[in-house]
Amino acid sequence: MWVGVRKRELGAIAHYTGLLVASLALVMVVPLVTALLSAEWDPALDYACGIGVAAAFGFLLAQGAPRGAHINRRDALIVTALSWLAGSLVAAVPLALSGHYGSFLDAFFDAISGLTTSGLTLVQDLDHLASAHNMWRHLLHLVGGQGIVVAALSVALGLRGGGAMSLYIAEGRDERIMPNVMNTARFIWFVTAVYVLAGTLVLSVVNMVAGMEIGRSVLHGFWATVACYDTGGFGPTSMNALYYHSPVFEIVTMTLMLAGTLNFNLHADLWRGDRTEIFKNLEARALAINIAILSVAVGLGLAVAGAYATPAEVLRKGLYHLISANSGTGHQTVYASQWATGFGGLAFAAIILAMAFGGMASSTAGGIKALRLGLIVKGVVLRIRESIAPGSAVIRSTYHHLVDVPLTADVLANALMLFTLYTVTYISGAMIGAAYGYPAGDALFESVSATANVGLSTGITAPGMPAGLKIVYILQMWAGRLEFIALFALVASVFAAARRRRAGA
Amino acid sequence: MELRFHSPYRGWVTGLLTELGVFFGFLIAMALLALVASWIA
Repeated sequence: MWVGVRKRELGAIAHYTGLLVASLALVMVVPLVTALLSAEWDPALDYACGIGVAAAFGFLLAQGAPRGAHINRRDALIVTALSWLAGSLVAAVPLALSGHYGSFLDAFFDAISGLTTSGLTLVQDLDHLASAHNMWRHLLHLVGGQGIVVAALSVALGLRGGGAMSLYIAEGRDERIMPNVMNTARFIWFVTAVYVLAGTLVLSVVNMVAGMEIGRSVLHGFWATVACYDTGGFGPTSMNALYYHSPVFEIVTMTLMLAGTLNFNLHADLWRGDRTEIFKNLEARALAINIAILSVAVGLGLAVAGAYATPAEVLRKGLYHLISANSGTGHQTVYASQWATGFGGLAFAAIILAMAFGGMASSTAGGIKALRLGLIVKGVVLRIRESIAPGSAVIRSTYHHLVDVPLTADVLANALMLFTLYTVTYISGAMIGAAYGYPAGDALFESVSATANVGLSTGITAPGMPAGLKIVYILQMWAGRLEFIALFALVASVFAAARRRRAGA
Repeated sequence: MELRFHSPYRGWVTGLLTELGVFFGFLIAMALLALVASWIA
């Protein structure tokens, strides 16, 4: 039975959505300071306006219910779905004011792409974008990659108890690393801080050695680190990662991408001294096997296509894009037009599959997720074992994910449901892209990239693309990041409320 | 009697170094796989 949201619950939903949106005003202080330090006065004004809008909009919504209002699991799903949408609307304000976007829709596209760590962009004249705006675009990756809810939880923004846990789960994270959800949020930020500091330091040195001046080296180092660790994919230049022309830069960023796609539970286990979990974990094994098979496909495909003269070049381009695609990052070292012409059919298909499969659950990566793929393969093996065993035999299967877990019908059904939802969305987006006149292969590539929050692009995503397709990709990025369920809860509640109103009228 | 102090930082540092070791090892293995595949082709 569909149960609609009542007035009192609506107040609580508005309250928590408001708090989460208002927290973005705090984050906007960073680009404001960047603008002031860089003497970028117009962008400083953009962020002053942005802070005003975020704070006013957030606190207005927060008046819907008193502080500490109770929310149930269903309301938490709605708050999460709305927060990502309302947060993106507010985040788009300074971008829209920058003058680098054709419309507010384009700025909103970039804001939701940033927050969902997709990395597809509609910005114009990126090479002349102010440092403050680049800082904001990359901070969106950082906040979105960790999760808006996690970000808010870590500063204890009035979210406590069961409501906090419901919000945490509703954001697409199903595991609690520490006994307390607040400590879990803080641990996630701690691991991130260590990687961001280390990555920024190393990449700053790499940039300085390549001839960049110190301030620019540090900024570029920080932005690239955040874009890779949070598997986002934005870059401060129109050439993206190709701008750096550096094998060392590529090795460091690939390492950051792998760190970003690692389940936070595995980070926790390793950092607590358990070094064996990563080797026996089903999800880690599934991801490793997936990347290994696709590495062979990309190597074969690029060699057959003859796009690159030497094996070293095949390796450099192939592996970088495979890791970028599989981790959901979207950094690229080729021009958009080269996907169709240079990669050849097999390597192109392997990159699409890598994007579709995605990284690990409870990480910053998107896509179907390695754990679900591992479970589905285990389920197939279990069914084969059952079919060849004697009728009286009872066949059981377990898998190792932090602890030994029995493979039940419920676990398998959940994995298969999300596999189906992602696949249907990939194909639907591709058909809509094809209907707008784009080649089917490119349309599939772009649709998978948007839904799996990757950001690699064949060039369809551009300021001149049809507005309808921009909205389709916005919905795909939003749905993919929230793994559909929060979005469905929102839609179902709206329909139920409308039905109740009609019945009462 | 020997006094030993347990530092939480040690766990984090060794954890981080283990992760980096695993990532580099994995990247090298994948690079070798892709190279072999391209040679076969």
